[in-house]
Amino acid sequence: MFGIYKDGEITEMAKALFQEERQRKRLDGWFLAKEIERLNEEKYQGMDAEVKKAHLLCDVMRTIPLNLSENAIFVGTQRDAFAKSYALINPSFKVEGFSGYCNPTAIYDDIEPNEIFSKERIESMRSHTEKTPMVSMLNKVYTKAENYTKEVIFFVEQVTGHVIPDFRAALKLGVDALIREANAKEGEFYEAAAIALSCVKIVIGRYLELIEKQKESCDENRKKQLEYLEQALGQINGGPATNLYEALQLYLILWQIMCMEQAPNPYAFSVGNADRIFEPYRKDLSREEAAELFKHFLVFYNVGDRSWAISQNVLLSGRDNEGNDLTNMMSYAILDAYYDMNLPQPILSVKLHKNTPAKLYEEMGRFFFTPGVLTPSLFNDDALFEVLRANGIEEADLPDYSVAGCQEPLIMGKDNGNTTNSWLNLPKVLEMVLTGGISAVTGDKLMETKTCELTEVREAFYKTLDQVMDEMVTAANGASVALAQLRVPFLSSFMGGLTYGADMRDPKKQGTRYNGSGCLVHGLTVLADSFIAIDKYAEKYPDGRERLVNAIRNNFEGYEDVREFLLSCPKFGNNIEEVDREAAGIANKVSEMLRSKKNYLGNPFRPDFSSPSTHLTYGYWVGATPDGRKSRDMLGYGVDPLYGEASNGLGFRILSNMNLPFEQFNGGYASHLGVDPKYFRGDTCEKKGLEFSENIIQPLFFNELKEGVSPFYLYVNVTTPETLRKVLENPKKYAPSGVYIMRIHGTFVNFLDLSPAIQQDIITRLDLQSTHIGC
Amino acid sequence: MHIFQKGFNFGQDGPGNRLVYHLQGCNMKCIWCSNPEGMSISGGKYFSVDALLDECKRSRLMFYKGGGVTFTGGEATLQAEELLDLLKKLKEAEIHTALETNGTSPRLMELLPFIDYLMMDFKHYDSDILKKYTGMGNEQTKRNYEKICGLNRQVHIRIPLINGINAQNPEAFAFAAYLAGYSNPNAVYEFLPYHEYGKEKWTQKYLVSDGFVTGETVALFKKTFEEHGLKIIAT
Repeated sequence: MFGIYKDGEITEMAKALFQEERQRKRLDGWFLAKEIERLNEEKYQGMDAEVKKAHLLCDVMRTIPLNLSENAIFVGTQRDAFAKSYALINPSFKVEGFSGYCNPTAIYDDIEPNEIFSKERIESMRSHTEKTPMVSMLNKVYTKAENYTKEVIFFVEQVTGHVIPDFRAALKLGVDALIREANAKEGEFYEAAAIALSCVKIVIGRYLELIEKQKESCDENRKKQLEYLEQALGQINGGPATNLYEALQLYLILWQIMCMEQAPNPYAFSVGNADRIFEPYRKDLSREEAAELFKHFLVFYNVGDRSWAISQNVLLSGRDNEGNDLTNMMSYAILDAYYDMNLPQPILSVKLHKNTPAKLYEEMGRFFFTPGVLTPSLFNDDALFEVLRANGIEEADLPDYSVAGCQEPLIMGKDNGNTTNSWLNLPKVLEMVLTGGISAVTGDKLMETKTCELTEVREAFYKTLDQVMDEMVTAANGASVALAQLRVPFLSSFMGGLTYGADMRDPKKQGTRYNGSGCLVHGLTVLADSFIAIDKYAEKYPDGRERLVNAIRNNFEGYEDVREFLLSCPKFGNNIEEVDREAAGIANKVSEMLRSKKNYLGNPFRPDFSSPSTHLTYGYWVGATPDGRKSRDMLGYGVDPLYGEASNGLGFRILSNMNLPFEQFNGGYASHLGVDPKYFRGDTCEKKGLEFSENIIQPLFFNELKEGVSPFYLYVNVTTPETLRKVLENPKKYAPSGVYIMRIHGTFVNFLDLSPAIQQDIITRLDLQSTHIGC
Repeated sequence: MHIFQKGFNFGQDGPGNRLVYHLQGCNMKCIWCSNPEGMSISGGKYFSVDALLDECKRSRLMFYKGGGVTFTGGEATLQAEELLDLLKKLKEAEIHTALETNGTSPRLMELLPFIDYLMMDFKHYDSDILKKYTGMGNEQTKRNYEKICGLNRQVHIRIPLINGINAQNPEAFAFAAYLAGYSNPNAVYEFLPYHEYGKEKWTQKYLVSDGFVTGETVALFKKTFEEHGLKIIAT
């Protein structure tokens, strides 16, 4: 095919295609999909839920408008599956905007009425959706849990997306082979799977028609390109992919249908190890040629004008069961494609292990040390294999772990982790214990708790936490059962459905090899600092309970001396034994409590100590805390120290971090380092990449002196607050393309597209004092 | 012990990853100093020897790749009594120790048995010129160097190269001639080209106007030293 395209033409087209996408102001496809489903629903009355859904998916794929840009070398889009409403990090994000209610019809507020989509048309669909069983079940869940969710003692949600489909068999054998497999088995799910999988041929057929039309009016050069595309589509129209071009094309079509099945907003699907998936198809293509094709693959993952985070993750590198490195030529080609395109999506993650070649660190240097360029998040395979193994993952499945969304480890094609099903706010629970269940923010009575002496605060806390967890689990399972109303036979076919004969959302029969439900635990280090500060306070002021509680209720106004005392107590992140031990103890205990709770299928909840911007939104609903933090201030991010509290530099911060029980975090955890580029003195990015490895990765991930499981996740931003302020003040000078990529929790963002609150959060959490190297 | 700064660093203050303590107070007043805040004898935060020992023990995880604890300054040997106590205790705890010194302490030989890795500055071969820019001559430093060489003991000699002060053409020869006059198979030599990382910390007038040296100058020093049989390293 490289004879058909001029030198560099494929890259130019990819860049032009991305610019086209950035011009797209409306995303209406999801609405049309919902209307198409509504229109056809009656035809399938009385059918089994997944068979009905499979038919509806075919109807959508038959009817939804498709188009093909002149800059495209592949067909396919996922834009029709998304609405403009990712609540966390879109440009209209406001810290105070959190609502304790997950209203599934709120999405209809996202579509702006115009001549085609009249207000009546939108309201008609909203009202139809309101009457669906799923919405009514979900409403019951939220109504019951309202007192707990309105100020986020906990929060629950139904989890769409958030898995890693395994498309390898489809690429290798062709979709016809999968349809045959489904047809050969008996049962409703298999029937649904065969119907759903046939969508691939529906879509390819429609694109072939489009190509035929475009050929009539295009120039000779484009005609040749389209003929090549036509030929590839002909091959994968049921058959296997025979080269990289066909493999990428088939993959994108599968992705398109998978997302449409969950429209609107199927967040956080991930590709998995793209290098391993596609390397077998690269054959005689060079690194440069493979990179050029992959650039179009990357553009596919950018939706709409805002390039907002839909948390789709591509992974590279890693190891096998024996510890051998699995980096291949495709890994480097993908890095090249990422670097040259520097797009806000999809997220890039790199799996590391103790035998990761120095070359990979060298090649990553350009990402970390070029301002405004995306940086991969980093996983430690050696540690994660141990964590996953201890939690029942079979040996053969370990190298296939991937991450759903930000950082939650799941097995590709086998694991439904419902990763964001529940969210727990530890400092808010402490507030309930200290105030007798009355909000220190609003004064509302939120729950029944007994007050306790300061010396008994831990016992009272864990007792209350258990009560809160039970309520949370009931609500979270309720949300999962409600979501089960919306079956996903197409996706399930790539998640083990063809083996287990069940939809992956089936609430009674497990359709995946592994299943669990996630709980994102917030405020670990604020709680640890608070417990230690309470101890010190009680020691010094044995009768001071009432004064402390009053100080908290009044946000320390009139109690400045109390706050001063609390702030002077030891804080996590400085290698101070008592507080580090406290944090580890909390993490252990909370994890064990969570793991003892069962989800809708009887599987354990998975502790995930991460806070994807929710350290802001949840912090907003937490009153002053006994560590001296003021009311409504943010909580610590993930397992990190609260900003400003760790002041002795990177080594001390790592030492505190190392004490945490990483083996407990099978749901994942989050940690971020803002690092000043001045510490890296190599004269090339490659050398700096190696220094990055020596100074940060080796001590943190592969420390030969560490006993037990090492940390396994990290993301970094190598920059300074001053640099970011300059970028904001003068974006034309510092980011002429309009794109300045930063990392925020698990994902990339275009720094310039963010709301001021999030921009400020990124700047604040760089917290360079906590990461200085040397003296 | 009075400490004005601490932190971890890799590969630049001794082998592996090291916890580096900057001890307050210096007997030299080098006009190019990158830690001028450590010059004054008063200041710094006080920590007992046992508190520091405890911190070092809790930091073992970070002493990877043969790392440990490094004492620098200021000039660490100005607090020789407590330093000796702490070095002994660190050795008992089997923690690798390093000292970075300007070599002016008459007590250096007393500390030596408890130092695994010694880094010593040799800023100028000419005592008068050295005194002009640092306030101190090089007599004691030379005595210490000669004794160390006599013992064939490990030493890492560091020579800051500063344009206009010690890096002119004939000076490479004079440096090498003196240093090579004392044979020591366990000595290595490193050049530290002038930088201005500490310039902004100076509250008094910064007196070096054009201290940067060229790559050619560094290469000339390297060649001259090697011709004298001196082993050059770069960290």
